[in-house]
Amino acid sequence: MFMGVLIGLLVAIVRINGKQPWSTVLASYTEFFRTTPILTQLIWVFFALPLLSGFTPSSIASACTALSLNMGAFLGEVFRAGITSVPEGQRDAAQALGMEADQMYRRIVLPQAVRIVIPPVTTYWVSLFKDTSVVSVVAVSEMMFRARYAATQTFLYIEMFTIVGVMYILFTWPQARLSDLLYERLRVK
Amino acid sequence: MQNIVVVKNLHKSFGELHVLQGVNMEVKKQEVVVILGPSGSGKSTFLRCINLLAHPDEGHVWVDGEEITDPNVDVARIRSTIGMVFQQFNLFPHMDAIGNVMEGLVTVLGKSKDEAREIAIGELKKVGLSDKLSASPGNLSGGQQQRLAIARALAMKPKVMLFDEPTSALDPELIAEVLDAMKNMADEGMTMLVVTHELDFARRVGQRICMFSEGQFIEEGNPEEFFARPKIARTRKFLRQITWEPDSGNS
Repeated sequence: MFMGVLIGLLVAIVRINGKQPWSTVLASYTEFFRTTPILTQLIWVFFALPLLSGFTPSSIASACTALSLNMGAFLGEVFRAGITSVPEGQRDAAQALGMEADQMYRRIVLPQAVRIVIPPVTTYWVSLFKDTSVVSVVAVSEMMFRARYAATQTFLYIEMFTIVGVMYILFTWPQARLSDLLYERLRVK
Repeated sequence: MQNIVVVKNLHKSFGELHVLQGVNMEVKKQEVVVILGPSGSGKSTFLRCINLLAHPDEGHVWVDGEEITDPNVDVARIRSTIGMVFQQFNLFPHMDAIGNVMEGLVTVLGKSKDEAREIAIGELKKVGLSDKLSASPGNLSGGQQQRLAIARALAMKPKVMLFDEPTSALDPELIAEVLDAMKNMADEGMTMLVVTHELDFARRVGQRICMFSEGQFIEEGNPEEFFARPKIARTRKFLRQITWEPDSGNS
C-alpha cells in the first residue's frame, strides 16, 4: 500500500502537470492496470517480467510489485481527481498572498485534497487487503494459501474457506470503521 | 503625487478572445479608483494582470516603480506586496479565521507564529471580527467571510489593494458592512482599485471612476462629472442599464 501511495502520488503529479511524454506514458500505465484483472497482472509480473529483464524476484517480491503497480494506477486516478477538485479560487488566494508553488501545495491544496481522497483511499486499502488473497496463486504463503492447503489436506473445503472468510472480515471491518471515523473527523464542516 | 501603478499597452487574449486591447492606466498613491463596466468586458482580467494572477501577452506594468512584467522578476514576492479580495472570498476552509489571517504572515513573510498572531488579532479587530477568531470560515456569514478576506489581505501590509467585485456574491443586507470596511481602508490612505457594481460606494468613496468596455478604458472622471455628465455613449448606456428607473424606456 505504501508503495502504491508513492506511485500514485507520482503518477497524479506528473499527469496534472501534463509534462509529455511522461504524462501519456503514465496514462497508458494507468489504463492497463485498471482494466486488466489483478490475477493477470500478478501472473504477468511473476512469469513474464523475469523473462524480459533477466531478473528473477522471489514470489513475495513479485507479488508486492504487482500489487503496488496495481494500487498505484488506481490511487493515481484518485489523487489526480482529489487535487484537481480543490477549487481554483484556493490557488488564486494562495498565489495572491505571494505563496510559491510548493507552499501552495503543501499548505493549501494538499490538505484539502487529502480530506477529499480519504474515503476512496481507505476503500482501496480494504480491497487491497482482500486482494492479497490472490497472491496465493503464486505460492505466497498467506492466509488464502494456507486455507486452501488446509482444505486439501482435510477435505473440509467449506469449513476452511468459511474460517478464512471470517478472518478477512475480522481484519477488514475495523479498518473500514476506522476509515469512516477518520473521514468524519477530518471532514471540513 | 507619485504613481504607484502604471499600465502601458496591456494586451491579453484567451485563445481567440482578445480580452485586453491595449489598456493604459496610472494610479496615484492613496487613490481610490473604481472600475465600472459590463460583464465580460475584461475588468477582472485587467485586475488579475496587476498582481500577475494572469500574465499579460503584451505591454508593461509597473508597481511602485518596479516593472512586474519583466521576465526576471520574482512573481511571488511581487504578489505578496499586492493584496486581492475576491468575489468568492476564497478563504481557506481547513483553517479557522485567525489561521487564515496568519497564514500569509507565517508562510510567505516568515514571521513567527506569535508575531503573526498579534498582527492577525489587530487586523481582525479592525474589521470587527474580534469575537470570531477561532470560527471556521464556513460558519461565518457572507459579510463576515468577506471582512475576514479583507483582514487576510491587509495583514500583509500591501502597497495596493485590488478588489474584484467584493460584494457581488453577498446578500444585500450584508453588503454595507463590507463597504464600511473598504471605506475605512480608503480613509486610512490605502491605494485601492475596485471593480464593483456598487454605485453608491463609487460616488462616496471613489476618487476616480473609470469605465471599462470591450477591452479598454473608454472614459474616466471624478464621481461628480462621471455620473452627472458622462461623455461617451457607451458609458451613458451602461449607467442607464444599471440604474433602474421604472418604465423609462430603458433599452
